[in-house]
Formats: sequence, C-alpha cells, structure tokens
Amino acid sequence: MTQDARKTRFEVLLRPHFDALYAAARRMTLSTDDAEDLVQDVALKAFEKLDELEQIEFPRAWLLKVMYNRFIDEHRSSKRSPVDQAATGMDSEEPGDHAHSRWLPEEMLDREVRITRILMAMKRLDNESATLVALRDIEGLTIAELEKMTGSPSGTIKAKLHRSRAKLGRLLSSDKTLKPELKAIGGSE
Amino acid sequence: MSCEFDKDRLRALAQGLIAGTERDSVLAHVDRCADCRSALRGAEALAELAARDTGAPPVGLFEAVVDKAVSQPARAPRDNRFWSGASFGAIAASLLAVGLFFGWTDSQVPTDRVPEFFVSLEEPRQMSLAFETDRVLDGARITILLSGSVEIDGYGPRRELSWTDDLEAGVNRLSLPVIANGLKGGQMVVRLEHPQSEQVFVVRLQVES
Repeated sequence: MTQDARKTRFEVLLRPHFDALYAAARRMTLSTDDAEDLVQDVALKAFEKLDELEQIEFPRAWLLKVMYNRFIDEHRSSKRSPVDQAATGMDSEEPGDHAHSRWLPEEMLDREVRITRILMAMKRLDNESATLVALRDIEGLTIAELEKMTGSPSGTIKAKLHRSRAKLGRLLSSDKTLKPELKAIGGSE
Repeated sequence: MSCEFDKDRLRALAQGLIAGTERDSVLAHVDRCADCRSALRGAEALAELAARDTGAPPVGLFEAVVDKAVSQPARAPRDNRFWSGASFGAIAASLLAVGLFFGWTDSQVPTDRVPEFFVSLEEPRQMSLAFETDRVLDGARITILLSGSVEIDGYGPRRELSWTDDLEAGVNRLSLPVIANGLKGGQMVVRLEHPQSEQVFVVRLQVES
C-alpha cells in the first residue's frame, strides 16, 4: 500500500474524533501550543497503530485513553523539576498565551488556580484511575463503552470510578493555604 | 469499607443533573459519609474540568497533525512541553510553582528563563505561589528575598521574610501582595528548605507601564 493511501485511511479514521481529541487536550492544558503538542503526540501513536485501530469498535475511546495516559505519564516524568517547567512555559509567543503570562483578573486567576489544583491532583492518581475517571466524567463515555474498552464488568468499573473520585476529592481537600508569620521576619533594606 | 449508597447519584449531583428532594437526599447522605463526601468533591472537580471552554481546533491543525504523523512514523523522544503548560506554564506569572520532590535538590533556574510577574505602582497584586511536595513536610523553612523597587504590601521596606511551616502533601498555596515602589522592577527569590531537600526559585518582577 502506498503512503498516500495509508494517509487517506488515517484521515478517515482520525477526522470524526479530532474535535473531541482537541477539546480533551485543551481541557488538560492551559495553552493552545501544549494542546496541539498533546494532540500531535496521540496522532503519532495512532498512526503507528492504524491497522489495529481500524479494527476496534470504539476508536474514540482508544484515542482518548492514549491521550490521558500520555498526559499522566508526562506529568509523572516532569516531577524532576517543576521549577524548570514554570520557566519553560513562558516561552510562548502566541497572543492568547501572552495575555496569560501577564496579569489575570482575580476571578480568572481563581478559576485558573482551581483548574491547576485539579490537574495537579489528577496526576497523583495512578494511570488507570485517572484515565478511567477522565473518560467517564470529563469525556462522557458510557459504562458500556468502558466495559468494552477495559474488559471489566460494570460493577468493577463503577467501584473503581468511585474510588478514583474519592481519592481525587481527598487530594484536593488536603491542599493547604500558607500564611507567613510576621514574628519570624528578619533582614533589612 | 464502602457504603451502599448509589454512587451514580453523586456524579449526577456534581453535574447538576438532579434537584429538589433527590438532591437533598444525596446531600443528607454526603453529610454523614466521609467517603461519599470525598467522591462528590472529586466529581465536582471533574465536572469543572469538563465544563472548560475549549474552542474549536485552529484551522489547518488537522491537516498539519496528519502530515506530521505520516511523515514521522518513528516516534521521537519528546520534551515535557504540554505538562509545563498544563500545570504551570501558561499561568506561570500568576501561579508560580515551587516543587520539593525527593530525589533531586537545589535546581536554580537559569537567568534567561526566569519567569516574570508584573507588578503595579498603584495597587498590590497577589502573587500566588504553589509549594508542591510529594509528602508531608513538617518544619519546612520558607524564605522570601526581595531586591529592587518592589515590596510586599504591609511589610514595608523589609527585604526578607522567613518562617517555618508544616506543608501538606500536595499543593500548599501562598499568596503574597506585591507592589512596586519604583520603576526599575526587581527580583524575588523563594527558598524552600527542609532537612532532606531544598529548592530555590527566582521570579523577575517587572513594573507594568
């Protein structure tokens, strides 16, 4: 088969799910650059597995699962230095991102902080839990779709979903706000 | 260990799908059940993510993604760009992250990649720092050093704040009201110390014109 024919097959497979993939990537990232990188990453993986993907019943679920797995994996590997990450995120030249890199209104900041906390908590779930709960509660996959995807019975899936949500809730509840204490201050002008 | 409550109702409540007496009955159960309370909190967080406005893919992205996938069948190692944006990058100026993970220490950001925070001469602006640790840290020392024409509102000319605090595992937020007292801007150094590890984080403070 020629490369052109393979490309056409890939387009036919990917096109119906592309908007959903992009939306999922945007939900899990805060810049369009990062979302596009994530989508590209999934597309590379999908092209490698094209023959296999064409045979499965729910390619969208497969694509989203790969995306969330990549997202969580990248989160874990990035633990090496979040400080570096804070710096590297400033290099976007996209106008929309530049607006982010300046001051955000308080209500927008609160929302972004909340989203960031949720994403940071999600990375603490194991891959299976994070992916399962994201596919169900964010992407709206049905229990039946998750059954086919995982091969697990619905009762098992529901129990895992509940445990994952509860763990996420506990992680979010454990966040703490710090307050500096004046009495410990030192230094001079 | 888990109760017999129908967990689907927690998700339905988080997504705003139930109301009235049914909603009240779920809330009454959640009041009594810590596990379901946590699950509801998690479901609400996921619902918030699901509700994010994502917009449509940019024109031409599909074609570009396909072309690249087809032309690069062998997967190349990637950097961590999407993670940087996911948690810290795009909002780095407003939520600045200081991580303290065990297994690495003392990473100073190169000066040409220092994140920036814009301050004003007219009013204090809240800088949010996220101290993230992978375990509980009792007695962590947090030090804030300032240089240049900036100050922390309410702390006058002090150049250094330092205190000891207990950090929870996860994200610990600290908000500092920063204001400019001149035009040249400055720098803030945040040091997070614990007997087993240390992290230094630098932020460039620019005065908004």
